[in-house]
Amino acid sequence: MTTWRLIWLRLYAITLGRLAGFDRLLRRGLVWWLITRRPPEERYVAASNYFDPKELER
Amino acid sequence: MSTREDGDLYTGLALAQVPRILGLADRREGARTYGCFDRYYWQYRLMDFPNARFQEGVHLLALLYHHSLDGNPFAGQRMIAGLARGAVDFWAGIRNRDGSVSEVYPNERSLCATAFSFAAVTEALLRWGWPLPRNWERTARWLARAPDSPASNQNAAAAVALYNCYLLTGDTGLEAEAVAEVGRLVRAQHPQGYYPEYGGADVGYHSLTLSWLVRYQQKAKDHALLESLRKAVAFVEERVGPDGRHDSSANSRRTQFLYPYGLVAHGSGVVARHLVGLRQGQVLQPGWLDDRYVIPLSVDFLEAGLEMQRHG
Repeated sequence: MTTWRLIWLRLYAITLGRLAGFDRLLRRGLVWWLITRRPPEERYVAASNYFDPKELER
Repeated sequence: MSTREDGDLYTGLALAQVPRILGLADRREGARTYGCFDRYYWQYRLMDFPNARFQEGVHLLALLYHHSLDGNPFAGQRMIAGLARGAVDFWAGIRNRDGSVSEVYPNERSLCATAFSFAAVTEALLRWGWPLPRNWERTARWLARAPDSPASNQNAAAAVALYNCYLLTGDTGLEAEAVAEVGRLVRAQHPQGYYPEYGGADVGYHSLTLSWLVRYQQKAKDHALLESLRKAVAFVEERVGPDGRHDSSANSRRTQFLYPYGLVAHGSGVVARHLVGLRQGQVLQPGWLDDRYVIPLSVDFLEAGLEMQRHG
């Protein structure tokens, strides 16, 4: 996320995004951009990258 | 180690997070944001809208209030009931006009957040015997009409939310919607036993799906689901090692967690391995998670522990 991306996302959300169709468009775009177009190891997953004890040296 | 002692491990790990989770909530009676669990919104004031997923904390409050057990000073506390009431009202107030809620940006209409938060709210309402909030039909209707998510866990939560609404109102149309949702989940189940997550297998999210389907099954007594659940449990049993770990790099969504409630309810052998991993500090536990995800995993750990203690 960058400042300008956040600004554009907010502007979209509070203007065109009030309409369900435009929100669906945004969602499909975000899902495609962040998830489905990428291989599993590159997908955006909020609930990932937590600490794993295996990161420590033995 | 007895089943009861094993259950104590799950409940202990969950209870250890409760003060932190309560700190996420606005507990100031009379405040505009009373009952809001999104501290980034009501306390830090860094966010311009509340993330509805934080309201899943109301499910935890319901479990804490209604279960007396060692290490739980929250049972029967008026403050917990009041906060739960506030959390339900706050959730009802942040819904979009169509009944959906937002998680990432305003006007989002998030299936994930609507399904999980509504499921949590209705779980709490069932335990307290409280009525659904005003205009609840909009949320139920929105959830019933929303296209299924490619993430099965969200669809499972939606099914429970709809079924809970049926239990709260007697509306058999909602029961039918929940049954249909579960039917679609079963038809989508891969022959290997997993419920797809963006087209692939993910042990962590699969265990979350399993937990929610077990909650559904316990209420609906849907015998057609039993074989599906058996295959789903077997899928996990084949992928969790003796130390309770599974290979997150092989998961379609790279999750590291395991939601144990559904596995405990099925008496799965995975539970013993998971407990080994927890005791050794090798597997993810609620306290290792961020503020958003600590809540649902704590709920699941607490319910897993309560389930074990019921059978211990």
